[in-house]
Amino acid sequence: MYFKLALKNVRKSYKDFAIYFLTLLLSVSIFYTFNSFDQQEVILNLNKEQLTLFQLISQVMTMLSVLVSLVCGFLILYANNFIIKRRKKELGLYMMLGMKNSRISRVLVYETFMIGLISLIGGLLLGFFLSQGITLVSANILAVSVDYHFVFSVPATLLTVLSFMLIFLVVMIFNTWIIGKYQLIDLLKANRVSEKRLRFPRPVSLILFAIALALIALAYYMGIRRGNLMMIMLVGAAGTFLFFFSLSGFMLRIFKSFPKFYYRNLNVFVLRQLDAKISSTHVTLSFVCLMLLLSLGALATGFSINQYVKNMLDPIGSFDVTYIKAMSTGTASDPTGDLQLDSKAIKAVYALNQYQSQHSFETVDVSDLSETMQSNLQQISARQKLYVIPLSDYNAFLQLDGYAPLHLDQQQTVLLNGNTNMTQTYEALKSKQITPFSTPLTVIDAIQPKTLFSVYNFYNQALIVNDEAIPAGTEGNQIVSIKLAEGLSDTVFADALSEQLALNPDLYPDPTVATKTEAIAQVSMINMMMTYVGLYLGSIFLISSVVVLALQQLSEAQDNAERYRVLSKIGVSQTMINRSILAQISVYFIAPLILACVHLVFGFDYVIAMLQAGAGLKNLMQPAILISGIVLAIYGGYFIFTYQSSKNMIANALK
Amino acid sequence: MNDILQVNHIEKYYGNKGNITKALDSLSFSVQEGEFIGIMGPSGSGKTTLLNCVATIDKVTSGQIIIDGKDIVALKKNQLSAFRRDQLGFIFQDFNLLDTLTAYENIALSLSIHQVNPHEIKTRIMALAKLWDIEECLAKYPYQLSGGQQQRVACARALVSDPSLVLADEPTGALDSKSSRVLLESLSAMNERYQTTIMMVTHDTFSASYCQRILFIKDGKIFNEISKGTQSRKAFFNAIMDVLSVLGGDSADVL
Repeated sequence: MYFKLALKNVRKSYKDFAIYFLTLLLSVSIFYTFNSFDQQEVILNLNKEQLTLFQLISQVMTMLSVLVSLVCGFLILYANNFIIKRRKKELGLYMMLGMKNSRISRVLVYETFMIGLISLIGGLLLGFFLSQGITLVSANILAVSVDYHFVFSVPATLLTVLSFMLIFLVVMIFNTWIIGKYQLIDLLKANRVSEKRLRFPRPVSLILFAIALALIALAYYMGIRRGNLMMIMLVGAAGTFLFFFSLSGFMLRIFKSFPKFYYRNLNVFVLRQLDAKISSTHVTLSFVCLMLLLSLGALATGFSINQYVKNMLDPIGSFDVTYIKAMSTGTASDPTGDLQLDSKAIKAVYALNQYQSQHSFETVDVSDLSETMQSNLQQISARQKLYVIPLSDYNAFLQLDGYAPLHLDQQQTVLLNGNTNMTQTYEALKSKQITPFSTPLTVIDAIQPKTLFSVYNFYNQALIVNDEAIPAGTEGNQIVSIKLAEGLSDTVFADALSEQLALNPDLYPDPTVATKTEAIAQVSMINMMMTYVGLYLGSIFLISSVVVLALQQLSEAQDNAERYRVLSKIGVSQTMINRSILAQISVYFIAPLILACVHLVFGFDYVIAMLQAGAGLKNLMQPAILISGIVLAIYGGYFIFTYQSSKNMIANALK
Repeated sequence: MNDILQVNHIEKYYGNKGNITKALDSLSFSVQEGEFIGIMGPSGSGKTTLLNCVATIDKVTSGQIIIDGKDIVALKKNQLSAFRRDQLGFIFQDFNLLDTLTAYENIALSLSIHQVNPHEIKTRIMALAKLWDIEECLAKYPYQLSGGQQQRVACARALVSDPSLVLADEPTGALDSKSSRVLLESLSAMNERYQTTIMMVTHDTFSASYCQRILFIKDGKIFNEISKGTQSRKAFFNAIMDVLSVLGGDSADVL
């Protein structure tokens, strides 16, 4: 009987539950999709390197899923709480009729069970189709062929079912707990209480809003100056919070000074409604705004990295394999002299000698630099040794790619920097003295490497000095890169080479041989991983924020129905009422999105710099269009849904 | 004088085949311009249904309701809200002020939906505020006002657009006796001074005694009708009591 009651409830209040269903459906399908990478492995024709890395992505996604399921859990609990609140009167009636709390809980448990079951099955079906789409995206990114057939991922299904079952279990416990807490009188009298709230006089609300804008501007400025991330986030969050705290008061003051607008049609009502709504939910709005920023940031980073990595792929190609040979004697030897290599297979061998300096940045007088720069330098001095590259080696590589050689005086050095995040700091070291060995040298320039020295990009920092400036006997190593003859497999060659290197651990402490294939695979995998992490987190955060907004609007529909009834009685037409609902929901939905977008525009630069991807970003149009598409679909969908539901609820109340 | 409201043989049925409740049963009456008319009757007599039908919130099953020469039964839904906006003023038992708006804005709203310019709005509100003694309430929110003040603001809202007919549904139902008296005196002063036509539904004899004429309704029909004429309010009060005692059922109903 209780099961029947629950079934009827679910069916009857399906409109109330609709947004709950929709959200569950989307979360389940996204969760499944991003955990179903084992299914992609079967479809895509991957090589060995790609397969290994693919499994790594799979693991990363599974780890991220812990975070995602936490977010989903909170979201579902929030939505559930909203539904329970709306059903207070119904629950009160059960109690009045003498139903025991435990029985009511049981009805709710059945309801949750049914909703959970339906949304799990529906979400898995949807996720199944979504994951096919994602597979095609992978194929596109990795540029591999597809052996297309439908597959179903059993581990992903199990993980999804398990995670969401856990969430539903928590929901059930929560409902039982909350039912036990309610007093009958509260349930029956669950009407609105006119809230009294703080109102500031005009100058105060203007000043507060100005402070909010100033804080936000400060955060942007700190971002442009590459300040401390923690501080930027704190100032930005405080500004955002104050922005929403003071927004409604400010807005009202502004519009009030245009009485022609303020006292036209329902404008006064719409503005007052928004004022009440925004100021009573300013905390929620701030969180939603920051969550949106996170979501947009994740999406933007994910897609732009894609662009960046595509650009990064171009220079790869001059070398086929790279390995490192130690130079314990301090003198460069023939890099391949001690190895038995098939001379026909090798087209050319190049070696870059790099020596370990005795001192690092601690020898530089940095007292006039900013604190951030000082600590950056300190960290680098402590973490890794500064390598010194002889000018002749550097020029040899420049010549290889057709660049003009570099000239240095005896007392001069150039700082080679592959770490774009440090560009500003290193620029500040220009014309300062550094003492890598015994004599001080003047840093005449800080430059980014023009060429590759191995199959990989150069990511660290090194000093280029005249060959004579390096004392004899300095320890160091050789980065040996080989170009192979046409048509040879770098992987096969590398395997053979690696076996030889392993025989002489003194000369080759690390016998791994890096290959071009591997480099390409890694680059495109980083690319794909970032894209997917961005998509996964971005869409979940996007859904979470918009669901919170939608629920905030819908939960007020009951109170609002009362107000619209009054309006209708004094002669306001249905069209005018609908227009006012649309205006309110639009502002409520769009305000946090706009602020988040502005935040993103200013913050994105910082993120890209942190990810050391600055140079590669050229074409931002494509990612921008993609992201707008995703945001428009999810945000717009929930927006239309919320508007329609509110409109219907109020139209029903007015009948 | 003209009839501002004419109700001709209206009927209102609830329910469906085989189980019909006649809420209004061929009811007819008319209200003249400038009249303050009261509608009384026991619970379930149909007085609220009557008010809702006149207010164009509810539809009659048959019959005519003519307000200021227009048959509202024939109007469409969109025309109805425009008609309410232009011709009617409402005073409710529970005030029905919008809680997010100040008193001033509540009153202004019923003018702003008429496209009245803000300057004109201000002049009209200030004039009415003086009459209803709510000048110091204008900047406040409903929750900051007493019941009596709220209802006076609501009255000002109903009257500010110069409606041809003001409909009041138990306006003193939620007020204490002192506030009730103040409100009723103001209402009847408005009626006398500006010839505002008021139709008030009540079952409180004291409130009813402020009216000029009272219609008694029972089981959807007019049971009796008395006029104040020249008699004092106290005498009228007693006359109402007499009708009520009969209306409540005569001794033949009690076994």
